[in-house]
Amino acid sequence: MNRRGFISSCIAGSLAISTRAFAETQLRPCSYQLSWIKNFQGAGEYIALAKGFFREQGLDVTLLAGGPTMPHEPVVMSGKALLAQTMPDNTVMANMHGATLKVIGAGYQKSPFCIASLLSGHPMRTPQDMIGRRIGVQSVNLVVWRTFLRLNHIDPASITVVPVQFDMAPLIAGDVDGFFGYLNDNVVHLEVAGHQTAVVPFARFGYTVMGATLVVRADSLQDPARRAMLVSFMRADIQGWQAAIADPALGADLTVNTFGKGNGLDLKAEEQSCRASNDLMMDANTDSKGLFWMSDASIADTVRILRLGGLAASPDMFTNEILVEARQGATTR
Amino acid sequence: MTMRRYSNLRPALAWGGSFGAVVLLWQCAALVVALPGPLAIMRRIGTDGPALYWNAGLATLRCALPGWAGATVAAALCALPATMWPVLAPGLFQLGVMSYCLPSLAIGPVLMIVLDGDGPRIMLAALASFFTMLVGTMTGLRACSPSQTLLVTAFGGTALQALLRVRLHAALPAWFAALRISAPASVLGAMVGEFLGAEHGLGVLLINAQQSLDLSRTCAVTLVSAAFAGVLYAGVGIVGHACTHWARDMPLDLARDSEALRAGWTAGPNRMRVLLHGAGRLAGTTALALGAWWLVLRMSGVTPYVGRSPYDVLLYLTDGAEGPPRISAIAGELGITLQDMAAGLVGGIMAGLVLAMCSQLWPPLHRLLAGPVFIMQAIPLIATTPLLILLFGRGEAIVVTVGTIVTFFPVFVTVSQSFAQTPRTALALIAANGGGRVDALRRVQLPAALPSIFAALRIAAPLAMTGALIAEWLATGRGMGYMLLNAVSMSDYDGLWARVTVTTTVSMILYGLVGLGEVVAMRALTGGRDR
Amino acid sequence: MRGVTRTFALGVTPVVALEAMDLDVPAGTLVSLLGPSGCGKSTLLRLFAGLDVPDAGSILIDGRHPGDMRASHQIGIAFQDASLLPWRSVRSNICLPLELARRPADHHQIQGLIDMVGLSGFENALPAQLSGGMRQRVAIARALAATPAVLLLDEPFGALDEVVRLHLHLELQRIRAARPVTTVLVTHTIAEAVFLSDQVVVMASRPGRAVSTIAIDLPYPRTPAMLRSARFHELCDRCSEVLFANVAGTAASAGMRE
Repeated sequence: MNRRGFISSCIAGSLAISTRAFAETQLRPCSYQLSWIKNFQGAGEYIALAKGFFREQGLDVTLLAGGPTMPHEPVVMSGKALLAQTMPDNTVMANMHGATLKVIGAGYQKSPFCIASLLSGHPMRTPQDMIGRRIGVQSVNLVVWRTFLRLNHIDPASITVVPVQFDMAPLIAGDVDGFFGYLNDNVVHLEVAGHQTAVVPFARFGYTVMGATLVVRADSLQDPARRAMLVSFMRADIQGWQAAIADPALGADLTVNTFGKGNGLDLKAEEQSCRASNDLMMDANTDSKGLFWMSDASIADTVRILRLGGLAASPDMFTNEILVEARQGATTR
Repeated sequence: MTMRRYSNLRPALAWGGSFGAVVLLWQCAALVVALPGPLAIMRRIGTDGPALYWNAGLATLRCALPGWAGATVAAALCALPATMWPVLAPGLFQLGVMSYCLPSLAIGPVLMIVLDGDGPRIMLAALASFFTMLVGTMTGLRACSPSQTLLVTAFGGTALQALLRVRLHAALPAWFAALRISAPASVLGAMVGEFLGAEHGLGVLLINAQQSLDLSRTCAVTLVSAAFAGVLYAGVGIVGHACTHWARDMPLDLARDSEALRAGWTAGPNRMRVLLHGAGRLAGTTALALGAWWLVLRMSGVTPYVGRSPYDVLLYLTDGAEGPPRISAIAGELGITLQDMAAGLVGGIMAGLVLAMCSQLWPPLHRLLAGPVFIMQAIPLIATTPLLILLFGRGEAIVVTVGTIVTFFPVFVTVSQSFAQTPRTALALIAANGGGRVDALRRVQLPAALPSIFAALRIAAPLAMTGALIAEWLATGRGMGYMLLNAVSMSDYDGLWARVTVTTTVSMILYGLVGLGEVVAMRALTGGRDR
Repeated sequence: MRGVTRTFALGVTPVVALEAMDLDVPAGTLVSLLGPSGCGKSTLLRLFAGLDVPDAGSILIDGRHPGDMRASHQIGIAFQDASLLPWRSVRSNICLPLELARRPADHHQIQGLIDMVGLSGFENALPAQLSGGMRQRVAIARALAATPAVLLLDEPFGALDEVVRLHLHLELQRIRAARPVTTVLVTHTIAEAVFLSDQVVVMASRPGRAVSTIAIDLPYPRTPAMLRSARFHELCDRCSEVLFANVAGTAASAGMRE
């Protein structure tokens, strides 16, 4: 290499470094609270990170892992995360106790909840099948459970509720006949483990409540900088989830081999969960309005049913304004 | 020389033998019960690749070790001033008791939002080991005899020299003992923290294993976590042994010594003064607790949506219309929890006493028990309780089982230690009169162990509360343990703080009451003379 | 020492440990404080060592206050329990006063002390490996290590058997013959006090006070044979006479009170 070439390559190198540094300083840090430890439920966000969708929007996104004993609403209220994935019943309860949260989109158009039972045990396919049985319900889902019973005119006293956590061993051991779980998670795990399963899908029996909702603090919608970040986030997040829906194997691969690496996740189960999630995320509504969109009908249904369960839900807790801005393209950066 | 080497080898052999026996028993049990045996687990670790477990263990240690170290430093920072100015000792000690009585599951959400990154897990690991370290350090700093420090003063040494040359050095045996006991606790604390959300770690591995119904991996993670804790325990033991070889034959009794730190109960000859003293102490503790609570809220800047002040809790409980039903609800839950706690405590005391007595009558049993007892201490209860439910159901049996597992260890260890310290002359007296081991146990060792039993009870009471909360949360679905979690689920933070306050207060009161019982027992035993 | 009084509050009633006590210890001599338990002998020793301050009266050693003496490392002390630091070897324990005085340890001097108390070969032994008598000898060697002006011994031979005790008595005499250091010995054994001392101060309790001072005129060096001499027994009898007269009085008054 001659002297001139050396100098020019030095200049080029330092230029490259400085533009990089410039770009880095421009990135706005932003945290997203996942609903669980890193599994398929964050597939869209993993893709948006891996493919640089967040960076393209000028965001430096940190994904905060959740866990079994962690409530999500306080993390958003404290400002530790800009937004979180949770369930609408939890958000309404938080607001009833002094939180000021707004739902800006729903990952699942349908409720993912179901009662899973074993074909080899006491298979249940309708709510009436549950009468006289022992059902394992997590304390965090008790409100949903009671609401579901009321929707189907079932006397709560006719069913024995057993406290469970995320471990389905009680179902396998016959300690409970049915297990409150997710269609796209627990049911998948049961089948991958070789247990043929019957389900009572809540969505099919009147519980038409959205799920995997994204919540933010109400004042984040007013604050220009945070609002801009939310718009950027949703723009990239939608891109990520579109890719995840199109390619469940990619989402599963990133989950198992990159983001949840070393946590003993099973590729086959995660991929199947990704596929099952697609059914929950897409319907006629999202075909026309895009992912996360909350139609007036869905909002009305969600509010009506949550109120039936005794929660002070109201339509003004749900807003599509960030999604509208995100889909307009180039409003604010 | 051969003799010594032999005697050094024997405990190792006994440990090995004890583990071997456990493994064999377990393998046999696995044939009957639907749990994987050790062979299946080893095979599982082989097919998964040890790296999976090793890396997860390292991730957990990354939080457990700083928490452990932090607790050690914090304990030293509290114990040193308490030693230099004894007037501070009771207050600092009560703070330690409070940290010991706080239900860690319930304060998780607060830690989660106050601290970033690994913070919540490190903090939980620290909280799990702080009290033990505080007791160990305080006991250690008082381990030297008064004449030893007096000597330094008489030779013209300063107070600082007495501290550096005598106190700190004499503190080492007790300090190392506490360090060793708190090692497994810090690992468990970090794992509890991972249930609040973590990138990696044994807790995360466990969640995924349980969620995918992978029983053999669940058991493997449980064992690996016990192994990591065991390595820390053994490592500290070896280092401590090397550093304190001069104190090999010195008796050490952390539980009993901690009572001596609660100076004051025995102070006055006058009943009225004792009562006044107790009342003053109670008032001081309450003020200290409320002050600490308020200060932590202010300093951490936690959002008022989650962080409720003592005043908020008071309002919650005294609200005109809603207050009384709230109070009666909490009282009802507390009643259930106290019953569950008593059941576990009785189970733990019985098991600890019976096994300590059996191993006194047949000494090899003591070493055979060392392995299983340690494993019981080092496994995460939140992981094993679901497995235990399969074996014991969801009734009283599981409450007693979990309570026994939690409280058995301090009882067994303390009572065994007391038996071991029986004066030879007393035993010789029994033997000379033709009495056997049973007579010695009945007439000498058990009565002499009474203060130790109380000391163990005091340490075990808050643990029994923890055990009851866990059993209620995971198995029975009633009582304070379930309602604490329910309050978090329902975002009812007023209800959460009110219950945390009640639980912690009751634990501390029980701790104090058992301590009082201990003093009474001690007086009865020594004929009114103080130690 | 003039008019020294020291009072302790024990519970509600104050206990007078020492009342208006006068005592002179001529330089280079050994004075024994002899008395029943609780007569304030140990309190007196603590006052000499500057570990405690009298409520009234004054103590001067070579014209200086005990606190000054202590701060300038002029006091050597040994207790009934040897109070060795269990993690230090024999040599290291003996070096402690020098370390505290920030004086360099002279290897020969330390070895000389070890030889003098007959512990050659045990320099690196830990206290746990020594017998009670050996530990006590280490404590005495340690008390002498910083060449103190005053040697204070608080029942250092109390817990030893007769043979070892006599052996150590002879050792102490030999050491003091080589280096006549002013010594105060607290003891409750009459024979020990008589055998070792130039003067025996007999004390009584409640309140603690000196009741009599008996000069011991046995010639030096004192030998075991002397223990059988008529003069030795005569002195012992005088001491016990004074001692028991006061003890009997106390017991009688105690009986009266009950």
